[in-house]
Amino acid sequence: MEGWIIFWGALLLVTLIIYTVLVLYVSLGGVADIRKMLKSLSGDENSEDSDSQELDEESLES
Amino acid sequence: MLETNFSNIDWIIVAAYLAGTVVIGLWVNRYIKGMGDFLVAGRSLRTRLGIATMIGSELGLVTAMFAAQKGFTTGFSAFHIGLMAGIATLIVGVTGFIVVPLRRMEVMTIPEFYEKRFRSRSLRIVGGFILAAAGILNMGLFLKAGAVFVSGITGIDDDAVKWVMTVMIVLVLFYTCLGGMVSVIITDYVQFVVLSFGLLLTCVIAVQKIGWSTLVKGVEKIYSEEGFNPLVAEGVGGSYVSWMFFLGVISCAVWQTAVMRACAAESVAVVKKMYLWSSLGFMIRFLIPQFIGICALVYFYDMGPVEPFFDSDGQVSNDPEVTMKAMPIFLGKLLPVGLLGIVAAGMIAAFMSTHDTYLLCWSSVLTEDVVNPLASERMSQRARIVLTRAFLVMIAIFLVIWGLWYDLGQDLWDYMAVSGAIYFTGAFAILLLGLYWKRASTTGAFSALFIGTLAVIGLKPVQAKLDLVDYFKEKGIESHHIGLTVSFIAIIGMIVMSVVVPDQKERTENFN
Repeated sequence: MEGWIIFWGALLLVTLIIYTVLVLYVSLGGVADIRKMLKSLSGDENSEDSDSQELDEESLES
Repeated sequence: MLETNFSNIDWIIVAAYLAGTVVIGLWVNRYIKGMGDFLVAGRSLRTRLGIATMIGSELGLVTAMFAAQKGFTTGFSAFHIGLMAGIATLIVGVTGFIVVPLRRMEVMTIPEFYEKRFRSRSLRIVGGFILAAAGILNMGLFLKAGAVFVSGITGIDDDAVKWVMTVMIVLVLFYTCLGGMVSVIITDYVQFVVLSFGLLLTCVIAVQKIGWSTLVKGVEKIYSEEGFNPLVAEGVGGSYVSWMFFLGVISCAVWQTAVMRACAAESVAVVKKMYLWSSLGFMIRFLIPQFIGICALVYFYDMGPVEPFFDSDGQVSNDPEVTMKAMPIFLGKLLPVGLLGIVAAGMIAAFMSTHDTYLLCWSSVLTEDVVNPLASERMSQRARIVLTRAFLVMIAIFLVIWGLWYDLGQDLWDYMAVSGAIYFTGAFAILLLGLYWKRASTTGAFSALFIGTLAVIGLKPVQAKLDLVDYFKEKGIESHHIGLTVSFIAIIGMIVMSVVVPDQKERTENFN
């Protein structure tokens, strides 16, 4: 049982430390990714299928 | 004795957060131009945001509730669930198992894969219907878990909770209907940041207040070795651990909500990176709430032991409705004013994030994979978006009704695993053999889908209806035995039927 206690304790500690680093990395970098995503969506010329144009036209008509 | 620290300041923090999500829904609506933008955000998801949204949607309030409940009812043994999930996601990230070929095929939903691979529209429709039905059933108790959390952490009465939950579901509908996947991704990101910091701080405070050695001694006193060793714990054991590993693969590679993230990724390289990093998130989403559940267990035990969590003999309650309440009540007593509001806002955000992801997922499957293929003419983008929004509202109404009357009868996690198995046991066989075995046929795929529905027998109320409760008890058959057996039979059934009834040569050649 002692082995399990050490194993779970170490797993929890290591995971929490790595997760803290990951949260910091993603929190800071995610903002830049949101900006790029919105930029890509607003200038989305790849709206490949004709249905997208159809939607735009329908929106204009209404 | 069980009063909460929740104050007006905490309510203000929660209200400010909810208002913020509405603003996001309104703001991103301008970016939605077509179904591709609405469902997979124009496939413009990059790595860091991908990780945030992947973990954000999976680290939900419901996950926190069932994971904490497992920590409370099995002690440190529960950690094997997170460990198996982490290992499984890591393997998927390294190998690209299932998700990379799916991303290459540029499908938006799994039933769409069925049609592309097997050239069968009927398979897509049947698969889509089973997927949506199992998925909606799977999220049927989300609202109940959310209500238990809100009443536990805030201390408000049941009537008030119903109103709070109704407001929240309306808010989710509002911003999901408007912004689709773009608003889902942004709210997932915000929720990931708020909840991650809140939970990390909670762990630190809990350890400071209770102490690591007290926790270990407490679990030892309550559960002895079973509290640490999952292979000997009651209701766990080797087959349960195997089931957890299988569920780990399923939840990241076969479960539609995770697959949607993979399909929204910018490239195959991003998919792999997302999975590699998310493996940590898939582990932590269980580990942290389970740890808080363990802290609640020892905290309430040292106080008395406190009823209703323990009976007069000091034994942990075996009523799942009671053990589910332990974590929120513990948080309400442990955390100081302000931090309590932040954690509650994070958790409520997590609740909303899970709802938006799942609502969007199942309603889009019903539109894209059931109604649209059934329609005599191809539906326009506008009609499909309107229909998806109508399904969003209908599913939300179902959730309110189902959450009120369903009798749980088993741990929330086991309910979710079994209800999900109705879909994923068949889907796993189809994905595995469809992607990696040339001779997989349409008839084989149909048989896997139908065999998979047998997993419904794992639900306790279904067992009661079929008079199987005593039989299963006598034979020692648990829900996870049924899930594993059905998965195995689905694979064998698909292989046999594919050999017996192969597809026409032309169909197979088209795919290869």
